[in-house]
Amino acid sequence: MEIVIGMNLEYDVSSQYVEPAVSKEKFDRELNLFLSNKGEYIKRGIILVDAIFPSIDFIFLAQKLTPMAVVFAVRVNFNNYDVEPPSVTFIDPLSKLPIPAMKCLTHFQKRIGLDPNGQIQTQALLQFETPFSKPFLCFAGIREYHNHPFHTGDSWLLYRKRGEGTLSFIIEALYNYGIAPIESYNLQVQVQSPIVQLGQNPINISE
Amino acid sequence: MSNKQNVLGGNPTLNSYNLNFIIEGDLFTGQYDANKTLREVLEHALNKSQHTGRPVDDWQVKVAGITLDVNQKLSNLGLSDEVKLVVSLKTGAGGNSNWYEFGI
Repeated sequence: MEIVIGMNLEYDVSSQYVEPAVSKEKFDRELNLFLSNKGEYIKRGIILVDAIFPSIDFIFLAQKLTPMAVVFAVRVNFNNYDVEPPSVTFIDPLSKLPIPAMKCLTHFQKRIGLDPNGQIQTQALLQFETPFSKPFLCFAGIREYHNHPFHTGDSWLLYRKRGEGTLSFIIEALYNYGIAPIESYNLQVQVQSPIVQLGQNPINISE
Repeated sequence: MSNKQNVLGGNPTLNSYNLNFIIEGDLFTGQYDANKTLREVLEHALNKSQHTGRPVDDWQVKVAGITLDVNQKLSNLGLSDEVKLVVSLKTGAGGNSNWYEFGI
């Protein structure tokens, strides 16, 4: 797959209130950091497919599976970076169109402790209102998190320059919670009682 | 050493390890005594690579997708020499478990 790196000439500048050159320079810095370790990312199934300012598209493979599976694809958007954190949109890996929550194969479970019976308790970092709505990652450093009405008290400016919201941070979170735990396919087979019918040739049916 | 860390298949007999840390995308390399804990080594690597804004407990170290116990000595972690360790910030959980959920 050819990697495209450049400037998106169709980019809608009307939504960009930060000086575009500033966001572009920071975008380039994040991109170059990624590219300097591209080989290591590929070994873990993290593939950059497009990088056109202000967005970078990735696909994430579960490399422990045979055959490998494309678990999800994302578009990381650096519009107004880093006055705003990057946005993460889940997309179809081929059409690049946003996908609804119901098409996400993993919900990015985070371990939050043990229950009284010693069972691991998890919380989904992927949130959505209905299976048909746009899913988003619900943690600091993601634009959708900070823009959500539930998190108006947790401003991005409390995190900016502290490590959250960098491309590396986002990629590692996507990998750690979305890919690393996947070790096998879970197949659900529905067994139905066979229905045996006799096959009749209509031509042979008597009048 | 936990079973989880045995799978790394490294060399526990080395006196020192050359470790490659990938910290927030930056590569930092150092040689460390096998008797040092990963926490000590991580603190050193974070300081030397100018990632000093966060306490060491905010970071996690992974190799091959496995989270390493930072309280273990390097010799107990099953690391191989020249291994690449990915260091990333832990992610805070937001979310709302009362929202509609389905599937996995």
